[in-house]
Amino acid sequence: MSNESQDDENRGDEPRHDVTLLLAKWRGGDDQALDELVSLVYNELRRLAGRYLNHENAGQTLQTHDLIHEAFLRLIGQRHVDWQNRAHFFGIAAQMMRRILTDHARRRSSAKHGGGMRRVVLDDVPDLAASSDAEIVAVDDALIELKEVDEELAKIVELRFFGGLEHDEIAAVLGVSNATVRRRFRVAKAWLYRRLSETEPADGA
Amino acid sequence: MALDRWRRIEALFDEAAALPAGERAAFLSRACGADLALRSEVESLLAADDKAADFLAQPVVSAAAPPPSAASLVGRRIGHYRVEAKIGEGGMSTVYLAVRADDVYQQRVALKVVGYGAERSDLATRFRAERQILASLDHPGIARLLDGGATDDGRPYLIMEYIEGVPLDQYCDQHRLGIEARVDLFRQVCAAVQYAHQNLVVHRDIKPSNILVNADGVPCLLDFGIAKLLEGAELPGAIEATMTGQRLMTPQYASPEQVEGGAITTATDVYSLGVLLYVLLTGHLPYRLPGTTPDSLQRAVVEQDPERPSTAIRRGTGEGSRRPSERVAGEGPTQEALSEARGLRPQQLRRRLRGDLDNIVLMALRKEPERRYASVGLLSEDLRRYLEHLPVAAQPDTLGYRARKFVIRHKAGVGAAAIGLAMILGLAATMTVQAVRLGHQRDEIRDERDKALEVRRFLEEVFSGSDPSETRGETVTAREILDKGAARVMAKLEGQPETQAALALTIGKVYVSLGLSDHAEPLLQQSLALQMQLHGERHLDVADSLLVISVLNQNRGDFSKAEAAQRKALAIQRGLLAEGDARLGDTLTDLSVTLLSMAKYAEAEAVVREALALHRQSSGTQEGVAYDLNNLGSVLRRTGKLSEAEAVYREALTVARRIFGPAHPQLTRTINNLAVVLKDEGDLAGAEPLMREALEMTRKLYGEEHPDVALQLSNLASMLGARGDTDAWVAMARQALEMRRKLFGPDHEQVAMSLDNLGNALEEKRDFATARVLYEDALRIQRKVYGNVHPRVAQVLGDLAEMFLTQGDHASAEPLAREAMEIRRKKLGVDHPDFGTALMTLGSIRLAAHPDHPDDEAEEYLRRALGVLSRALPAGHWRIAEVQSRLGVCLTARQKAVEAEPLLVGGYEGLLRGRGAQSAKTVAALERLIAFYDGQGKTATATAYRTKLSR
Repeated sequence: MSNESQDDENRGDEPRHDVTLLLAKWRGGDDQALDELVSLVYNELRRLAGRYLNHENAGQTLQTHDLIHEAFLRLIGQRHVDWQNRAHFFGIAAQMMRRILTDHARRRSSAKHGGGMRRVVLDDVPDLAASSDAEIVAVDDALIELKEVDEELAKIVELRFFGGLEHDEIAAVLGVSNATVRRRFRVAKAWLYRRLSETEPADGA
Repeated sequence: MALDRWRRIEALFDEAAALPAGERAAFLSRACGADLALRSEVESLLAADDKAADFLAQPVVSAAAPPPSAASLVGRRIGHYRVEAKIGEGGMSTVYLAVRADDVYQQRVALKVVGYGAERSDLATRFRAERQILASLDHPGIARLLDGGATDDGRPYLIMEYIEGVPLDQYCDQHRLGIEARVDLFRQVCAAVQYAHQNLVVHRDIKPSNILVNADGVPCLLDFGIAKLLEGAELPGAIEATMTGQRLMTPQYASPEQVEGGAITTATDVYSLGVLLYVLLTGHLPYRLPGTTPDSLQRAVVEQDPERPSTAIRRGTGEGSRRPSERVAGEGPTQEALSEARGLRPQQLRRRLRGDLDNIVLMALRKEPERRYASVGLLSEDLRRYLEHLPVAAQPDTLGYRARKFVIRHKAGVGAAAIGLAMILGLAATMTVQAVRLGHQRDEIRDERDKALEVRRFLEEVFSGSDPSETRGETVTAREILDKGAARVMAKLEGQPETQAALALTIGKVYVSLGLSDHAEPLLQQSLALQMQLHGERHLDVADSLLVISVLNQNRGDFSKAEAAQRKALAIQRGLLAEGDARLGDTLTDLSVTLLSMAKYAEAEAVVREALALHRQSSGTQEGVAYDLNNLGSVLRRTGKLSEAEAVYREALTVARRIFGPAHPQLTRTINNLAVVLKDEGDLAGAEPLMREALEMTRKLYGEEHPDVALQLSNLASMLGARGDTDAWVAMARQALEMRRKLFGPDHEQVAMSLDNLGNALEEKRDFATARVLYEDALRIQRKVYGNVHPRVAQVLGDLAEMFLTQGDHASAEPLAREAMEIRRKKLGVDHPDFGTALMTLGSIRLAAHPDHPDDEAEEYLRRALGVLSRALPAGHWRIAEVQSRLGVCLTARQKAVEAEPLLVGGYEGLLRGRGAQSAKTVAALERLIAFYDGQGKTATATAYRTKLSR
């Protein structure tokens, strides 16, 4: 393969072209590249997110979108980035972000409540912007079920809610149109809302 | 829940959700009928949807804390200083108040410690070197660097003069300073920066928080040159500063060259000072931002024109509001509040800023360092002239400059649109020149001058739209300018039919070259109608419009319309032009391409040969010859005359290299075509370097994303596949597909070609399910674009049939194979290798239907296939070998083992040579051979071949 994506700009400590290369390999069907990619992205995001998450005395807010962009810049850099790389990177990063946030929320809420907490009453909750730990965990759980119904729906929610991606970015990641993303996000939301409003025996708590 | 069921639910949900609430029940009872479970599913989703408008509307936001800072140094002794208190914390460093411990005067200093430098030993070394220079800066407007070193745990620190004061922008607002007072203060800052520049130190990070104004009203700059010192330091939680390519900067104040990693010079400080002045005057940053991410900001710095200060003050609260950490003080207030903080009313403030101050600020903010003020001194001087009501040096950019710059700046992004704009500008120039040259009569001169003036006025109007002050500072794209131009051509130029026709044609051409057929069509039709009104039907301008319309139709895949337009244009030209005129040749060339697309190969060949003859006679450049030879080669290749095609392509290449020089789009296409014919002939070793050359050349010409890049990627992909590198094939085919989808949209014939190619690759990897989806999608698109009877359709049909065959599903394969064969018979003729391949597929299907007792039909098809392919292709070609191998199986079953053996052996060996040992085709041939020897009881031979298989 030609080496057109070699990046000679980066003299930093991060082995950045590896990420570009891994993305290319993964797109070519190399699953091992995906594993490596995931662990790289996960570690970077966790490192960045840790700065926010591990200090509970409030003050600043963590914007997942910015975090992902920061990780992107650190791992790949500004130059020599084609749109596929970007889209694929964001796709992975959103998934990792979800894992980091829910792990953290789970740990914290179990520390507070001493057990799992599943159901959230949403009728009087106008939005999840100030997402509590319980809500994050609930959405994460429900997404696992939604994935059983339709994988792409779950992916769209993951990219939007956990990854903070805009509709057009999601469209690029999934290779579908903007309109499709908009339309499917709506039905996914309705599904999740319905799922989370259902009463259900708390599991084991 | 089964996915199908869910899809049904989702579809009903979508439809119902689009209806007014009152109509949903009726719709659902109609749509769901007796399926009550379905209905209740959809209804419960709709109910949830009603309540879920705000649910998940925003991404998750988690409240959290600032980044951890290194252990506090308060109370410790650093060098000669005792640390008293923490007074500030940035993203990468902490500032403490310290006093000199051994000093009776208790001199207070600021101690700045880099948070995370411990692991960077080089940093301390650089600190020592640079701080000598910084320490020599001695100016009342610059906080002195007193000392520096490293703490016990290795963190570098700096000791600076302690300044008590308020950040510059806050100071101005707190004291409600008017415009002139702000400019005065700003000029004091300029003086300090200028002093540093004279000492060869660039600040690199000028911003309000780095400029403190003390109680006496004297501004003092902090952190001079610190940015450079810290560059390369590890910066984990940089909030206010961001790092790109290891550079430290504050994005809001960073210059384009900082963002892009260019050279940092004193002009960089001029730019940041421009932003500072902007903020002091308007309370806003120069750019309206679409998003809040660092890269959207950085893109704005590089691409957007700053909004004029006098209009920026109209931005109210809310618009462009950002996270607090990104917001500079004073941003976001209303016009009234802003004006009041400057002791003025909004109207007065706007008037004060309009004109000279607008021009001065924008000159400091120019993208190109060399077009800013050449020094901070000159910026300050211009401000002095403003204060003294003298004419200032700064002038607004001219129309011509803006247009040119616009074209240059957008070259990368919207190449074709930018080139199109250049075309329009070119048209204006031509008209002006014509106005001077043409016409000896006064009336005519006046006419032409009017026309040129008209075009110029038109352009000015259109380009005035690219002035951000008139478009609220948003990025204006070449597209928007074109759209605006198109609207004006349609609406405003009535009564100027000639100008209108010319401009409509030009803008239409630009749209065509951008692939925006729907935008182009009304303009081109308008141009055509106007020209017919002006000149009647028989006129060369009418022919010109027709020819552009034909390109539009070609792009749309509407080839019969394209052919009709071209033939009409040709008839007009034949009537008006001399017999040997090269323009006739050009039209014939275009027509031959259309015919080629329609697979009317006999007509295409006649037309292209006529074009070639005309172009060869012509005294002008031989470009037409290069095109025609290339097209003739394509006709020959597609009619299966591979060696003739190769010879013609080689001639085309020689001509193209001579007239186009080392790199040219046409050259890349001819190189590619020659490579493809070599590949068809089985000469993979000869093809590969040519394909790589074509791909590299195309990338150099067009960048990474372009239809031609996609084309060459796909060709190289299947070539690598043919050489046995299936992984590369899949990867590159996928890349080409994605690129084409992005470039052409989902339903373009080139997308279909990529789908087919990727399908081939995945089939090779035995991922039949995915391959089938791809083939069927390709087929759908091809039928839509070309109709049902076209070689491209046959190609995909044949691929799909072969795959079903591999999977053992001969019943599904047969109708597809028959349809493919009939298309090829009609379109390609019975001597074409693809017709031979169709025969082979059909023969193999018949064989699979009765593997133990194949009928006569199977043998006949396979024998005919072998005959056609052997005649059409060079000896030893792998496609011949493939038929040999299959015929061998058929003959074995029909008890003709003696005849079968050499075919099976030759077939395997031919595929091994032509496709490599890894190819699925080769493996299949090997398996046939082993089965043959097993069946014949020749176990030893079978075993010998079996060892090849396990490898």
